Amino acid sequence: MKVLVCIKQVVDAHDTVSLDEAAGRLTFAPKSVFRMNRADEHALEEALLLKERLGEDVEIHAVTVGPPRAASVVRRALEMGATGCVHVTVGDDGQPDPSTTARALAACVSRGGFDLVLAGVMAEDDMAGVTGQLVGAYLGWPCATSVVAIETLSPGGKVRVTSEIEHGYRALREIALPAVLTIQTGINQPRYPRLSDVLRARTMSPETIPLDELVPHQRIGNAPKVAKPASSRQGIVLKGTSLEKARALVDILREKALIP
Amino acid sequence: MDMRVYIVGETLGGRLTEETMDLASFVHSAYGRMPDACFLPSCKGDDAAHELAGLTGSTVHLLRSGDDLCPPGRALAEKIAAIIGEGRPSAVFLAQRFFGLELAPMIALLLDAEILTGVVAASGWRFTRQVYGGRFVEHTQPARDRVVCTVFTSPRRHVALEHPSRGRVLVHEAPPADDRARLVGILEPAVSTSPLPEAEVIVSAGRGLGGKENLHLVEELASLFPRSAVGASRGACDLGWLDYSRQIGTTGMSVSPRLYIACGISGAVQHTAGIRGAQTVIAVNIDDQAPIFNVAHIHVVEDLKTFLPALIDEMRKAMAGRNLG
Ligand SMILES: Cc1cc2nc3c(=O)[nH]c(=O)nc-3n(C[C@H](O)[C@H](O)[C@H](O)COP(=O)(O)OP(=O)(O)OC[C@H]3O[C@@H](n4cnc5c(N)ncnc54)[C@H](O)[C@@H]3O)c2cc1C
Repeated sequence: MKVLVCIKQVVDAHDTVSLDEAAGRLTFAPKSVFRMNRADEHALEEALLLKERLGEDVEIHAVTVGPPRAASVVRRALEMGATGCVHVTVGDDGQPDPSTTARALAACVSRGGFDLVLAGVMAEDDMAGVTGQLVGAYLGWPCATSVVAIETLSPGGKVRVTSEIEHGYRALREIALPAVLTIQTGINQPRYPRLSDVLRARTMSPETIPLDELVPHQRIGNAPKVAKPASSRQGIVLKGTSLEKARALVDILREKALIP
Repeated sequence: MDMRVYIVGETLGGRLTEETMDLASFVHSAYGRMPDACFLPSCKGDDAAHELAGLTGSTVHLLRSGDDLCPPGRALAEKIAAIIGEGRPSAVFLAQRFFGLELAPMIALLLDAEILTGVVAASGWRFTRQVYGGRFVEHTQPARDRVVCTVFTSPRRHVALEHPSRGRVLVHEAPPADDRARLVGILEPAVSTSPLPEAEVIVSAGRGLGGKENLHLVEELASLFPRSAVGASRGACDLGWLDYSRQIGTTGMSVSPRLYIACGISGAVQHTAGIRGAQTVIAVNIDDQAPIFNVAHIHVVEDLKTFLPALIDEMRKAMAGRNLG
């Protein structure tokens, strides 16, 4: 069985991202640190757990669509235990829209003969939350989103998955492979790479494919303009030292009769 | 702009969901009119369909479907796309929930539409969506003349039509469910033993707590209030610092305490959706741009590791003084 895990590189701390208001673009501070999107890390871990359950004939590949710096997340995937990886390269700091990304991922799936595609439920930066579903839609494969448990019924044949709905409801579905699953955070605890895997990863290099080669006819959309949200702030901002703020807060709590 | 506007509503147990009404009101405030037509996939939503027709005055397509909570797959999207058909520019709105996020991408693909998620505002052909946990927004004017949006609905005053003219209800038979994704069943929420619903004061921890070793800070703070409980963001639960029964938000609990203290929580909409009922919200966050401050009544821009001990101290002193006096 071949499993493809779609991973995205995102910036770690949102307070290192700033807005160039004139250009309507975000810029990253020189100190910005980039890492694997958390939900994608859970997706990769879930694939590795599948391999542990089903045995050695499960191959796990990781793919990312992103700028040159995104190479670090596929490398990390190798260190965590992926069998192989692909970097679909995009120029500069660019990140294509979810539809283009999904087309590229679907093309990778077709090339590689995969049976199962796992993706994170949502990326923390653009918060699109649709890339996985679009991959499924382009391939004509069934897709289950927000998956919090996977049970294998027959290797390569069927999986039984639990999807998280709102407010504690869950859907239990039997999905026939090939299929796409989007993985919700908390399904597992992603591992730290083992030294042996880190050393193994050093000897491997990701296959790189330019995005234009995978998706020759990209549709050029209108680039979105980034802005600050319309401010709805109306709270009281406490001022002073830490201690002064603590005292002010105690007074407020008293006034509101929240403490005796 | 000459465009058609559609919504896809939801029912639960045969009743129209609150989010569906929020969606209709969202469209009304964005476009100054009700949707041109509504789609309502539902297993037994006849009354809900008539209610929606009455509220919006629009044609309601009741699409009989196997389950209210879980869309049956591509066939439903095909049915909706077929009814929308060719022709004028159109925008289809769904609530950003499990149902909408499973269904919307397929509708978009079939309509050859652009898909926009996390939408918080619309006006004409301009759509605004949240990025970076609500820290920024993106304004988009799709190049294509069709768009499918999932919307972060928020409770708003539901608009009623000035001249209610009851819309029609058209019933469509169930599209066959995709047997490659067979619904085995819906699991109901577990019976809650969580102290959160009863609590008057909730002190919640997020990833900003930094580690489980700091959990005692929120526990101590909570213990100073009568009828209090400790809550958490999903981020903190995912890290194993707190049990999921403490999680607040769309996939956790909705709470309505008198006081909510968010410590090291960024304020993603999936979290803040769960605290709409809170009377007073205090946010303690090191980052003055954190989106939690958009909903907080009292802003404390501080490192919680130094601020919470100071606050606990001051509260103890104040309460001891009161007892003596
Ligand atoms: C389908 C779906 C459903 C979801 N459902 C929920 C849900 O029900 N509930 C929920 O909470 N989330 C939910 N989420 C996740 C949500 O999108 C956020 O990822 C999550 O709420 C973030 O948790 P957080 O605020 O603890 O972490 P972060 O977003 O990482 O925020 C941490 C905050 O701590 C601050 N901080 C850091 N250090 C300090 C310090 N020393 N002192 C003070 N502040 C500090 C930072 O400035 C930051 O604002 C859902 C997501 C999806 C995709």
